[in-house]
Amino acid sequence: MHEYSIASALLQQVEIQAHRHGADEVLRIQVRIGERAGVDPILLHTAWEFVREGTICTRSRLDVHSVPVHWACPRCEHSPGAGGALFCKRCGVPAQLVQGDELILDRIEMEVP
Amino acid sequence: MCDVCGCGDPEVVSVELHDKILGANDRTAGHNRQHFRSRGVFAVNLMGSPGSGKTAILEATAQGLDGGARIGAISGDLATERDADRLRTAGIPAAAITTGTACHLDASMVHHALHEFASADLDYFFIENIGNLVCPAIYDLGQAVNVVALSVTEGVDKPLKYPVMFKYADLVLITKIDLLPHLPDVDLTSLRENLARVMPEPRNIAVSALTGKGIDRWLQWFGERRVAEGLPRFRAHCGSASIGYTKEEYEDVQGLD
Repeated sequence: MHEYSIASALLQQVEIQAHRHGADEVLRIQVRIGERAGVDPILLHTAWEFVREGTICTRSRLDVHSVPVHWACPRCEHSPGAGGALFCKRCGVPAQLVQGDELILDRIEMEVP
Repeated sequence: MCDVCGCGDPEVVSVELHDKILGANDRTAGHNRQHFRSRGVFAVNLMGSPGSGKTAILEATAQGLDGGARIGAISGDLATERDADRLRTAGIPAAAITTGTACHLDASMVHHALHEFASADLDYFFIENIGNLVCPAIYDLGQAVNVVALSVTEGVDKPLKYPVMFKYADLVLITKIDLLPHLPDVDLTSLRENLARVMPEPRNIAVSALTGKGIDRWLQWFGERRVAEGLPRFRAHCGSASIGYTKEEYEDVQGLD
């Protein structure tokens, strides 16, 4: 389950920011996870609750914003039909992933003395 | 501290970042990629389910090349060096990465393995990832191409059930096709249609490591991709060039983490 690796990488980034701003507690973390990123939000919450123990994030809240998958033609921006081939028949080119593979740390709220 | 009234209460600070969560891995992967390129090494990240035939593909690759190119490999598994032993028996200089419990290789593991890898002058370097059809897809290792081994015994609907793995695959090797006569429910047309539903450019080659069928097309594919990357098909002898990291490079990557 790679969600523990993801949660550990997230913790590392948050701790760097908390240290940089001289925070004594992290209150809230907001992340953006694409539905095609291969990360399960529920498992990520479980992993987060495990890795945050004993850190500056112990009482933090993790908000996960899911991003739906969206493929589109790079020329005409037409989307292939759901469940169909990822190919634009009109333009004869492969579709591109416009969104849905994000693994992004967007925002941290922290308490600075 | 609150600087509105000077009450001494802690201040809540909100920091906007929009940073990649795996940014540190991506930086190490970038370093690995630069390392490969600067030495003229074409690196392949070979992924797939446990038992999909990854090691057998590499054995058949060594046999097919028959000394025509210099290849090396690292092989990831949770435990044992059995795959690396098989590769060495096939004549491929190989090292094992045993991860204990980790379900994927990351760029740092590959970097450490490269540091330990015996000096060699290579044209192709194969990273045989942990057998897993989900997690390895998320981690950039610094490879030039992603290749997924998918065996016919896994059924035709595997791509639909594990789309993340196929999203950025450059090639799917449909393996064990010698078993097709025993699998009446598996047809390559349906399998390829399903690949096209999860891969924008569903390149695939049907192979059998047992009979050697399709292996020549696989060798041709990665030879052409090597040239497309701007690397010569047959590299001039580079003397003491080594794929292992120098001490300075190793410390440089350590500083990135």
